[in-house]
Amino acid sequence: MAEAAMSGLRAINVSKSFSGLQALLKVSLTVPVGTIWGLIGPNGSGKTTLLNVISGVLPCDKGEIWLGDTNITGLRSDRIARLGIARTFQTIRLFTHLTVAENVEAGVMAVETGGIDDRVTALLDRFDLTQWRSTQAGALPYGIQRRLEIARALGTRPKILLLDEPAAGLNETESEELLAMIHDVRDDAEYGCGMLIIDHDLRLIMRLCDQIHVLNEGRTIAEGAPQDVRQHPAVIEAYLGHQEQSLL
Amino acid sequence: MTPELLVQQLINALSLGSIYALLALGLAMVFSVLGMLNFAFGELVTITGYVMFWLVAAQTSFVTAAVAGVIFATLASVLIEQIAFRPLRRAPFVTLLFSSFAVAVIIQNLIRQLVSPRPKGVPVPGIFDEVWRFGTFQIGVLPMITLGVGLAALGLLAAFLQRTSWGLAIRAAALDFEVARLMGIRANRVISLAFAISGLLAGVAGVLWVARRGTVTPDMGFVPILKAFIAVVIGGLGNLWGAVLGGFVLAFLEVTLDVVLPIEFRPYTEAFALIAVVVILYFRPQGLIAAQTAERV
Repeated sequence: MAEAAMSGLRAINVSKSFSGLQALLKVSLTVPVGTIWGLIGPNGSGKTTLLNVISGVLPCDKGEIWLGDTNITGLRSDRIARLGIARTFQTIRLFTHLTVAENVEAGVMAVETGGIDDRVTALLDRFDLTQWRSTQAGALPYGIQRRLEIARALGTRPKILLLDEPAAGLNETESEELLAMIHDVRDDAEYGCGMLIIDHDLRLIMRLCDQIHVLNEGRTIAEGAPQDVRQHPAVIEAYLGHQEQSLL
Repeated sequence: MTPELLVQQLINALSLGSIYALLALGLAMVFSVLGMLNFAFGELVTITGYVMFWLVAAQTSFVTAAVAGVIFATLASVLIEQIAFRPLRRAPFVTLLFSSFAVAVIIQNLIRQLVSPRPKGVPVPGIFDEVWRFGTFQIGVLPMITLGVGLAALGLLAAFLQRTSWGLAIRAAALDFEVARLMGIRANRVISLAFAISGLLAGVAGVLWVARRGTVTPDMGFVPILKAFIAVVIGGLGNLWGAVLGGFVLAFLEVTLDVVLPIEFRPYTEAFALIAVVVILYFRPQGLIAAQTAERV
């Protein structure tokens, strides 16, 4: 586990503010390769900001971010992606005018020098997207778009995959399929990686994740196994505004 | 209108449209990737013209001068990005806009000081003035060459964009640059490539522009950038193939108005064309080809 942690993602005392508003304050978390971490918290708690800082979309004010033994703090987002951090988005951001195959290729080509077509075909096959291969991404059913976004991100061969509300907008059946797919990906011999997942569906997060990190107003208020976090007084207070026996 | 005149005007419109399409695509290429309007784009046409002027004056063949003009425009475009825009990458849109205006003014004034503020002639091959006759039809050689070169350049670019990894990178970046970077696509290379293609297109359009005018002037880039901008707006800002369509639509408007307007109104053809553009934008404010977004199915 210690070795997996060292090869995974480490955020150390990360702080970020916007015009005086403290979005993140000394947040530290470790996501080892091969584990699924949940990142939860009420609206405005800094979850997406943390994903943006880790993926290089935003620079952090203080603190460090490491991927394995590489300090990625302040690196450009394209460099961070090639080093091994991929992500999806709260609102799906596919290249809507490109085909499904081209979307996956856009993920693959930045990290591969040869055999790009074969890898694209393998990824489409792995995620049951072959029948949509030549369809424009913007024309896909919503649930398939979510799946494509994950396939495209995995095309970059990430060590860590950041998923921002992957179940948003999915119905119950689609959410169950997504849950099974995420578990499969973690254990996959070829695509296996560590994952940090934001979602508002706490039942899904509790079932999905090995560990959960809870933010409130930019600060860490709890971290641990799902069964511990759901009974943590600070977490219940943050979500419900008063003491309850358990969050779920 | 006789069938002969109709065919001639059709070829004129397609010929002019292919120049406008090249210009519009060059401007749209950078706008799509970086979200900035490069108003120094017209000066790339000017650079092409003056490189051709120097080389033709030095007894170089027109074709060699044209190729050199295109190469210089391409290199100048990449250089301008490195010097004037890259240091301002995170600056607001308006800052980049002013930077591009500054580059345009500097290039124009350098040419005024180092060459001449007055027009300079660029002798074009005699064949450009000839006419091909097919029975009762007469077709100018220059419009046909312009059309052939323009369509070949657009076709080659389309093949590059559709069939190569770098073409895919450009298309992805044009659709969503931030996401393209998050997929690991190298931002600086994509931007340099976009500027290189933009310069190449300005160079090819510049050669065709000079072949029509036969002269170069320090401010000759103004009309091309204006036409390109109008064509890009007609087609839909940020849409590469919309820009091409916009170029052809603008040319058809101008040529049609030139034919149908009473003779006393012909000096105002461009003004009437702009009125027509306003009408188009009234009904299609997003341009002819609007950007599509993912929808829940």
